[in-house]
Order: sequence, then structure tokens, then C-alpha cells
Amino acid sequence: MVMLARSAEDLYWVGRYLERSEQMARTIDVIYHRLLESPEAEREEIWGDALATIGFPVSVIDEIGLDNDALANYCLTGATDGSALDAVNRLRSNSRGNREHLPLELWEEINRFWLEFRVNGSNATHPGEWCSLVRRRCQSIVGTADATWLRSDAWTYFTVGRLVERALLTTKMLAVRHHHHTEAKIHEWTMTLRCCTALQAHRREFAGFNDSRSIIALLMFSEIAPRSVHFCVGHLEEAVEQLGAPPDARSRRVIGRLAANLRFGDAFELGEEDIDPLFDEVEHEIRRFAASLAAEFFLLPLENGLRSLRLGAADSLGRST
Amino acid sequence: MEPLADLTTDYEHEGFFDEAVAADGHIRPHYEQLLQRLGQLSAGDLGRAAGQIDAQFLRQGITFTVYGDDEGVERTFPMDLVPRIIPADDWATIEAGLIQRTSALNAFLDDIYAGGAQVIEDGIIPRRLVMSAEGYRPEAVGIEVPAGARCLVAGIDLIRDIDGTYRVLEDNLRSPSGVSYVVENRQAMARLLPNLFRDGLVRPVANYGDLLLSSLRAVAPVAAGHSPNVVVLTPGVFNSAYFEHVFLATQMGVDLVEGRDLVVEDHVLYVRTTGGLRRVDVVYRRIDDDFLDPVVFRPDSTLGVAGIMSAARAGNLTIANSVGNGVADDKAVYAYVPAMIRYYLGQDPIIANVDTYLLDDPDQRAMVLSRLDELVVKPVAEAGGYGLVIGPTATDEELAALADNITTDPRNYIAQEVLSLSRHPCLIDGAMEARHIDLRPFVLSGAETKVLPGGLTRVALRKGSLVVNSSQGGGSKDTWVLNETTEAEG
Repeated sequence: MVMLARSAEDLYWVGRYLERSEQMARTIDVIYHRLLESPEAEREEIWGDALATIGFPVSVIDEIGLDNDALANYCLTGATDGSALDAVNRLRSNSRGNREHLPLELWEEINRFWLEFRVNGSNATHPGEWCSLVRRRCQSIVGTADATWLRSDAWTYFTVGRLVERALLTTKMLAVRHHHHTEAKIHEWTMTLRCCTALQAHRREFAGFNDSRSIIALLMFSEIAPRSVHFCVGHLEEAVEQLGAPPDARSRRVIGRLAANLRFGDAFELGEEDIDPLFDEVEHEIRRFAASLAAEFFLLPLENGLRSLRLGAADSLGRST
Repeated sequence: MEPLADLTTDYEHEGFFDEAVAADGHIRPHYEQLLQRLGQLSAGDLGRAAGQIDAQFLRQGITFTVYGDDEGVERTFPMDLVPRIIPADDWATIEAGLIQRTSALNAFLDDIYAGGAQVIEDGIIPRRLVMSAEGYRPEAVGIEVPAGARCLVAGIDLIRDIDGTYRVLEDNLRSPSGVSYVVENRQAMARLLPNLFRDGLVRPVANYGDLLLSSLRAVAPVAAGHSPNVVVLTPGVFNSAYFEHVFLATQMGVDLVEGRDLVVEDHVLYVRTTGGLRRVDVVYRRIDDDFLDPVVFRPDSTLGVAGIMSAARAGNLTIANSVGNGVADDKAVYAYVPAMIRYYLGQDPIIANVDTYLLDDPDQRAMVLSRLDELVVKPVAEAGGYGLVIGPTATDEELAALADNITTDPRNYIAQEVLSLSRHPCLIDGAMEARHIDLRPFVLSGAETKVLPGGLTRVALRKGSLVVNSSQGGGSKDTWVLNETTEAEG
């Protein structure tokens, strides 16, 4: 099965923006509420981390000031480029440009989300309301997609987009947050886990907070935690095979190798010095996979030639329009 | 519960033909049941339903784009809750008339572009009139279209005059739009006011996509075999009618493509897929001729595909609607459609034109100049009412200037009798009031010529207005064609 290359790419980005909106809302929600009961001294560091995980430069704090509401609103709606609203706008315009591939119920759910976020969102009394709106809507979009969408290539590209974005965001979250996970600061552990909706899962899988590598075990290596990198990468490996990439295609080799490393890796064997390089390596490989996917499915051979002339070795995907 | 106004007493005709209420105040038979059922609803019920329609269209993204300052604003096309009803026997006549007219227009276009223009040789239509039409495209001469179905989709605008006689106001043979509202209006009505539907008597319209797809497949090049690849070509998400393009692609289950998705190699059109290039056999394009192919037409167009005309000329691709159809919906050529029907089909026209006077004919010009204050004068190439002069309301200076213009450049103008569009009850602020309407039925050519039952009824929602355009206070109505013959109209 093949499909229109532009639609495939757009739907891939629908998946990425959907995942990004949800993750941003969850992260900001957790941080916003955490700060309500934190000493003021911690504020700058926490916001610095938060901005880094969701993709803003730390210098935003200097521009906006260290005000919880102002910063949360900036991330949610204020920033013209990179805010949750920006992601929702792109989610909706990419969906609108490919409505014929989406089940009607799914399109209406996405459109309703966009209308609500634009219109009703401004009535929100505090950022937490925005965040719960975004999370609820993203989950209902995913649920509607799951229940109504033909499992065709269109679905697979959408799923690949979600998995790529989620794997990147989880890796980023671990890379930024890992050094906070010290024995004295259990609340930092729980914050990271809550940002990835994994606190409850951690409690069930590991008895208490004894070794901070348990967080890496759960969010990087677990086969069953839906936000773990291994979980995402494993499904990406299946998806790309389903899309018909030949066994020697770069996308399949890159993702297969990463999946094998994660499948046979063990967080508790990692030394402290191995941890940061591991995160860098994982992020780099996921980006390499995304670039291979674009080269193999979204672009014509001619364009790939032009692209490599212009960009040198292509290593990351540009933003979709 | 406040009941609706009684149409037999509180309703004003003001001398116009009304679809639902005869001049003597009695309800026409085919409207009795509908109006009775509407009467059982309170003004509150109807108000709620009217409010829901808009919210529903907005949520579903059934919108058109109004071009604003920098960013297009998406608006809904208002739908009035009182459906328009066309009895089966009326429809039978309209349908026959539309099929006849479209067949003649197809024959004319095929003659002009691929048949050596016999109609001109035989003196039926002046050569000058055809060659000077703005929509004539010499670049399309010699391009064959399977089955001669050049107007694959035609939108023929009908009005009813003061006696209730149907007349053709104009032909739209390029990219007539609005069919998505026909289908969506019906769905919205059925969901919001299911009680109004007389069980099974209203002819369905939901199968338009299937009809269109079978027409498009019927015009595929022979080499395409049994499963031609059909695509819909749109200018993109910023186009005002984008929703309709999505609607058509979705209803047919085919790809909706933009110019950037297409490429022509060796006179074959391909679409870029995730598995490489895939051949396209039929393109239903919703892009104007001028933007279709930068090699042949406007070189600055980024919406089209370079070389697409060469693919059509080589017989590897069918473009629908065909390039150059604008020559047949020119306002001066319009006056010759009855003659075309006689010439190509040997039949008398079933639906008449609005009486039209051609001003480069000296006798007609003299007559028009003497009656300028009673007639409507239109420039032939303009659309949307620009340059239109309505005699009875124009000042003496305007009429004098118009007479000068006509004498200088008679080919540029036509004159028509002043129109009186029929009226229909509409729900305006909770009360029934009469508003002017027209009708755009959609005619599909292909292996055979078919008409979607009904069409888009447009309403001038502003009191007294004759303008039904969506951008100027126009709305629409669900249009019901009845399955069975009802009692004769009184």
C-alpha cells in the first residue's frame, strides 16, 4: 500500500504535534502545581528544566520574569512559535489539509479541540485548567483514532509520529532531570515520573525509591510502560516494517539496532558515567531514524539529492508546514 | 408555546411568485404537510435548532473562507430551516430540460475544440462571438475528451419568473461549487428536525460522490483499463471552497492532491506517493484554466503542474472539467444555447432562457437603447454583478453613459428583462417571512447524463435583496425533490 507522500508526512506531523501538545500540558501542569508548594529558591531551576524539556531556551525566564503564571501562560499560549497553542494550530491545520484520510469522528474531535482551545481557553482562570483541557482532548483524540481509524498506512504514519515524538520527549526528560534524582530529593523523582504519567507504575514495579536507576529502567528500558523509550522504539520497528521498508533500508537498520540495544540493555548495569552518553546516543539515533524515514517515504530521489547537497549529511527533520 | 405565524393570513406576497403560498393565500398542496408539521413546533424549538446548525457546521469544519486582511476567516454558510420542495412532476420536466441543455453544451464545446467548429461554419453562432469570448482557450483545440463529456459537472442556475415558470439564469461549466452544501444540509436537517421528513418521500442526495466517481471513471483514457486512478486537484487549504474539495475526495475515496504533489514526465501525469510515482488517469481539478499549467497559461502560477496540458493532449490524461469550457458560459454565448439545442439535438428547449438581447445586433441594439430604463444591462465578461445596470433604478446620467458605452463597444454588453426571483417562506428571527431564492442543480456527464435530485437552493436572507451569494448575506435551504407525484398544483 502506498499513499500520497505529502499526506503521509502531514499525518506523521499530526501524530507528533498531538503528542507534543499532550506532553507539554502534562509537564506544565505538574510543574505549576509543584511550585505552589515549593520554596521560591527552587523556582528558577525548576523552570529552567521545564523549559529545556519542552524545547524553549532558558533565556525565556529573563524575558518573562520568574512568575509562575506568566511562564506557564507563555508556554501554553503566549509563544508564537513552540507553544502548546502553536502545536494545536499545526495539529489542526495539518489535519484539515488531510481530512480525507481521517475518519469523520476523528476530524471533528480535533476541530473541536482547536475551537475550544482558541475560544474557551481564554476563559480559563489558571493554567491548570488549560492543561487539563489539553490532556483530556488529546486523550479523546487518541481514543477516537484508535476506535475508528482504518489500520492503513495513514494510521501507521500518524502512529509513527506519535511514537517518535514521545520517545524524544521521554529521552529529553530523563536527560534533563536525571541529575536531580538524588536520595535526599524523592520529590524530584516523583515529579519526573508524574510528568511521564509513570508514578503509579513505578510504585508497582519497584518497591520504594532506593536506586535512581529504577526511573531509567522504567522510562528507558521497560517493555510495558507506554511512555518508555523501549516501548516506543519497539513499536516503531514494527511500524516501519509494516510500511514496507525493505530489511536493508536505513530506517529499519537504525531503529532495529536501537531496539536491540534497549531490549538487551539493563539500567542497573549502567555506571554513573554511562548515563549521559546513553541519553545522547538514544536521542541521536531516534533523530537519525526520523530523517531516514523522510528520505525513504516523503521525498523523491531527486529531492534527496538536492537536500544532501544543501544540508550535508541530513540528520534531522525540519518542521512541517 | 408560541406557535408560528399563520401563513394564510400574516404572509406578504408583494406581487411575487411564492413557492409555498399561492397568491390567494392558500398553501400549495405539496407544502401542506411540511407546514403543518412545522406548525407543531414552537418558535423556541425552531430557534434552538437554528442555533445548533451553526455550531454543528463550525464543529464539523463545514466552512468557506472569506479572504480578509492577512489571514482567511472561516465562516459557515447559513442554512434556513424551511426546506424547499419540488414536486416529482415539476422535477421530471426540470431534469429533462437540464439533460437536454447539458448535452447541447457538451456537443457545442466538443465541436469548437475537437470538431472543426461546424456550428460556426453552418452560421448558427457568429465566429467573432466565440473567438472573442474571454473563456475561449485556443490552447485546448484538438484535445479529445472521452465521450465528449466536457462539462463533466455543470451547475445550471435556475430561477422562477413571476408566473412560476422555470428559466435558466446562467450556466456554470468551469468549476461549479456548492454541491457539498446540498449533501451536508440534508444531513443536518435529518439530524435536527427528523419529524419534518415525510417518510421515504424525499429523494436522497447522499450518493453524489458515487455518481461523480462513476462519471470520472467513464472519461478515463482507454489505456487506463478497468481501474483508472482518479484524483481531485485543489489549490490548497486557503482556497475558499477547500471544504468542498475535501468533501468530494472523501465521498469518492480518492486522493486530494495539490499541484506540488504532481509531476509530469514524458506526457504522463504522476502523483508522488510514499512508494514513488504513481500514474494518474483522471484529474477532477478545482483550479481555473489560467493556473492549471504554467507552461501553457500563466507562467507565475504555483498552483498547477507544468506539462499537464501535454499529458492531456497526448491522450494520457483526462482533465475534468475540460479546459476552455468558459467559452460556453459566456453571457453573450448564453443567448445562443437555445439555438445550440435546436442545432445539435433537433429539439425545442424544454427550459427557456431569460430573454436576452445581444447588442452587436443592430435591430436588438436599437430596441434596447429605446427601452434602456426598463431593462437590466450586464457586461459579458464580469461575474458577481459587477458593472450591472438596472434600468428602472438607474439615474438619467447613468443611462446616458450606458448608452454611450453600448454604442462604442456593443459586444461587451447584453441586456435582459428585469428578473423577478420567486420567493419562499424562511424562518427569520422566529417568524416566517418571504425571501427570494434561486436553484443550482448539478448535472453530471460521462457514460450518461445524470442530475442530482434538487440542487442547491440559495436564499437572499436580507429583506428585499436579490443577491444570493454566500459572501453577500446569502444562505441556503435543504431542497427536497419528492418521490411520488402529489396532487396537481393549485
